[in-house]
Amino acid sequence: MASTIMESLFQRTLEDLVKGLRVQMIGESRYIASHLEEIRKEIKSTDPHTKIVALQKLTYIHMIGGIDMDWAAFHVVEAMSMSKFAHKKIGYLAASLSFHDGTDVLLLITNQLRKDLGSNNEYESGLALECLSIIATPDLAQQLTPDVFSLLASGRVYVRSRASVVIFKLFTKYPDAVRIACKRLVEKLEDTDPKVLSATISVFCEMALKDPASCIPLAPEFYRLLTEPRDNWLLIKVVKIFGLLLPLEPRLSRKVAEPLCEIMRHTTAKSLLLECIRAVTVGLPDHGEGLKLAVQKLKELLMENDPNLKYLGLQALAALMPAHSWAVAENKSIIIRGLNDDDYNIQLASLQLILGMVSEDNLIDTVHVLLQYAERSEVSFCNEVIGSILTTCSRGVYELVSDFTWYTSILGRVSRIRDSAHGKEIERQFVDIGLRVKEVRPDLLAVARGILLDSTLLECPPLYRVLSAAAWIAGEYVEFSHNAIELIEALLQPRIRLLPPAIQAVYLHSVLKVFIYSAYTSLKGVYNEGLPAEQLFSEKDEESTPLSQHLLLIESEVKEVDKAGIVSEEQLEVNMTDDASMHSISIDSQKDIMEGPSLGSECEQFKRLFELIESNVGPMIEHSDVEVQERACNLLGLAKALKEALIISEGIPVFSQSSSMDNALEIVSFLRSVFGKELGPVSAFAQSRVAVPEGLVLMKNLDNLDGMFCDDEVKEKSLTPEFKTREWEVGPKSAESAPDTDSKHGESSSLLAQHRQRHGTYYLPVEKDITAENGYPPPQIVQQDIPSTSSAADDIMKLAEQSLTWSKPRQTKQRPVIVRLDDGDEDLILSSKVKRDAKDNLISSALKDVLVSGKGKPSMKFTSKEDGKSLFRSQQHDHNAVVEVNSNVSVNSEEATKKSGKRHGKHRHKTRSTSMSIKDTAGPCLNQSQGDSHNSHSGQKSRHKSRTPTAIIPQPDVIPDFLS
Amino acid sequence: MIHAVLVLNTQGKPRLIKFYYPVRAEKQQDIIRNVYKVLSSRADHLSNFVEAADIFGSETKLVYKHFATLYFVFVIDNAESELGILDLIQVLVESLDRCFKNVCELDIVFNFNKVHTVLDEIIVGGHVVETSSSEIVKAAEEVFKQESFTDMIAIALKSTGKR
Repeated sequence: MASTIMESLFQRTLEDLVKGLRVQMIGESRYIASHLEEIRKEIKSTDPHTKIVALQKLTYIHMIGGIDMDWAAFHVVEAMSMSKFAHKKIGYLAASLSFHDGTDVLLLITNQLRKDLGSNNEYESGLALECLSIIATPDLAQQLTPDVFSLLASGRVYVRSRASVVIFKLFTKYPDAVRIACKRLVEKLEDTDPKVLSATISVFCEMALKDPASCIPLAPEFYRLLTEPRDNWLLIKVVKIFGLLLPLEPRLSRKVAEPLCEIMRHTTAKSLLLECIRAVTVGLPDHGEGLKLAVQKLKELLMENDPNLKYLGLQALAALMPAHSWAVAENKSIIIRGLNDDDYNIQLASLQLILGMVSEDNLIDTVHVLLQYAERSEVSFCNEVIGSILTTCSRGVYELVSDFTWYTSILGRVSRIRDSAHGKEIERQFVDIGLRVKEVRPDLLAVARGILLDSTLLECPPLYRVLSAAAWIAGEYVEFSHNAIELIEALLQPRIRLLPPAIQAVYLHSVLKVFIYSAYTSLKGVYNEGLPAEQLFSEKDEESTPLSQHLLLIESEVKEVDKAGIVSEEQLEVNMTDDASMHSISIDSQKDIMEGPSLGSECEQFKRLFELIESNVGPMIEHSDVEVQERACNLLGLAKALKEALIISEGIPVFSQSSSMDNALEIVSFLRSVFGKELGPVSAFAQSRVAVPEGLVLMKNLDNLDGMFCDDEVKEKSLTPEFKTREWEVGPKSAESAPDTDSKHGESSSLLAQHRQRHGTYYLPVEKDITAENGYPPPQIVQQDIPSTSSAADDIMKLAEQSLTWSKPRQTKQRPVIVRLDDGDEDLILSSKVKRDAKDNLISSALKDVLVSGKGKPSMKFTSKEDGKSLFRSQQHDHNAVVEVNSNVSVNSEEATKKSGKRHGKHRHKTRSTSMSIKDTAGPCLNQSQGDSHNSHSGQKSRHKSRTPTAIIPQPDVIPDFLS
Repeated sequence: MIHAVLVLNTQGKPRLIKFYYPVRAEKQQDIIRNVYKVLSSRADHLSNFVEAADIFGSETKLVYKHFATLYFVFVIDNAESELGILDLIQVLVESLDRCFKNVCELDIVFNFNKVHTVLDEIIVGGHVVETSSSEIVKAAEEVFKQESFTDMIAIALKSTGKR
């Protein structure tokens, strides 16, 4: 005993702890840790006072410092069961702050809670209710529902109002409680005390938010509360409930419109006014007067210089926007000023509204205004603005954009914003517009050129994706360029090494395309201009075909290629024999002879091009990324081959320059024809439209294919031709793929073969024979590797051949103004919509399950029966003294209520509660309640008697009487 | 409903935490930090509402008010009226003011269970049960009286022990 007294004497109180915490020098967490040790000892004390003070300290540091106090859960339970109110209160506080679903002692407190719920001291019941409202678990809810239920009828307002909140908590944890207690909770809507009423309506508001349909049968109750003079707290909740119910039950609107307008006209409470505006927006979209009034009031709110009202007002406007854009337009100036607001939330809301008002006519102005704001404001808002501009403009396949030249310039402008978070989207739109809108390609190229020339952009990682798109455009639409060399210079500037490898690869590929294009145009130019000179030459060289003729031949070939997409082998043979006679020749010498100024400049250009490519692409051959490496090799190989065909480094002119030029032109024009194919957008559903060949099962489980691995050899053989032709391309660069050659006979060879089929490009040929001429690789293996061997022209032809194959898919593309893949684009939108709807349904049905829980189906067949109605209508008039408990009465009682509402004020309440009880018993108790209907009970009695299982069952058909 | 009531000081130290659904202690601290981050970045003349979807889930808002060194923060969902809650914060502060006679941060620091008592008179289970500050103070004082009655006995016990 003495020890406990000593303990309590020298124990530090909560105040000591707090004071210490404020002056401690050792760091808060260390201070708390040291105290925790003390508390651990003290809390085990047998002296209740010591224990309680320790618990109080623990609760405090739990709340302030996030210290776990699960270990003390049992001590909390002990404190809760102490008889002194002060101790008990500290115990309950600790419980409600620290208990959670995983607390194991929850099972022990059921009886304690039950005892305290039933306490004579209303504050003790209050403690237990408060605690239960937070820590309720399904088990606790199940066991304590009857206790809370009985508190609903308590004579003390303090307890009753809390009980109606807590019973709803129990519903959510233990849905079966709905059957027992819902009816009484509904009765609380008629409670004489405003506090109880207020708490109850708050609970129903939450229920309506979770599942509005289940609250529709209660609409008459809510309507009554709406029309009777009440305090604003309650009215706000009622209006909120109607805001949730009106969209579900449009027939309510006729009734509710007038009271809502009345409130809007007369209330001075802005919170209530705002709620009414919201309810009108969602619930009365066709009520002209109400809408007008709401918009008028909203305008007044927005005019007040209060950031809160502005924020909420703009949100309300946003809700109005989809259906009533006029309301938004009326407040245009306020909205635009909102863009400049200091409050980010208001800026965002304004932005959404402005973009919502955008139409084809004002798009250009709006976007300019927004961009100006964006460029001035800070990063996050700037990104927000740009993101919404991009989504708005690309909506519905750019349906708002009529001037694409303008839009590409906007994209270009947006691309320069350094901290952009939308690089990916800009990239997508650049490419997308290029593919879809043919007319805008020159502009697109101009914009891309600007982006590529701006070398500072290479230092902005967020813009790398944009650069990639620009590079792609430069390559793809180079024909609109006035200065291809400049493009190549831009694409090959040394700093592109800052880019990630994937984008460098795009750059290199674009260089290839631009290079081919410029080579093609200059060669063609040389031919056209040099024609007379060549004819002079032809005297010396009788053998050579007249150039113009040759050119025609090539062009016809190209056309053929266009049509067929494949070059027949014969043609190729022909070309190759031509190549055989190919010799290097110096154009410089030719120039000297011809003295054509254009020819000379072309020549210079070529020289420069080759130099550029050699000096910049050369180092990339050793790039660590295989994609970059490969493309660099391709490009360099092609350039070398062309150079050898056109320019002689040694300066030894060989005969027949024209034929070598011919060949060069042939090669180049061939490649040009390959790259010149127009690309079009591909539907997202393209793959799914390809019919599955008969007998091919795509969904098959491939696990049992092990047995097939025995025919490895066959597979290998069938694969080899594909690799044969690639022998020549294996330079020193392919060191990384060397090991694979041995694996042919390895165990994993079958896997490897499969792998090769997919990624064959990165593997060495399996057979070493060089039979290049006959083995033209099938499409999937095609690569554009460039040989560095001496038979350059030969190989280039081969390359052309290979490249050709992957031009095939391009040919099917169309060339409309804005290519819209109608079904494809729409389908995408549609399917996502459908999915969402389905999900919503799931959620609402799940909610209904929770609230309706295990009840039979609502008696739908009953409610809408006309004769049933009339029958009971007469009955209703007979039993002037309240008809109770009948499933059908719900229909007519409401009607009777409406009709005789004013005269029989007293009865109204009773009949209404009847309607509820009916809904409750509708399902399983159908027969019984029908029987009941013939015996008239006194209302009060039957209300207690009819404690049959009850539940709120959504019964939209119950309302018609209320509405008529 | 109201999901939580938080009182933080301007340094981000929690002074009162009340969640109306069970939340583990570590998670609570995490939430406090995030809320403080949001609030401290907002100037005083801005609106009192912040969307809190990334802290408390979608459709939730913070309604807060800044008094001297304290932020009073209510976390609400769509079932509450923002302006109404703003008034409720006023009610809470008024009630505290009456209970402590010119309430300041220190009162809240040293009387955390009294503050909880006042709060519990206003909100139960996330629903508002009382909005009149005089009623709130009356009930809270009644609770204090019952507490101190037992406390007095304890003090008496203590003093006898001393002797």
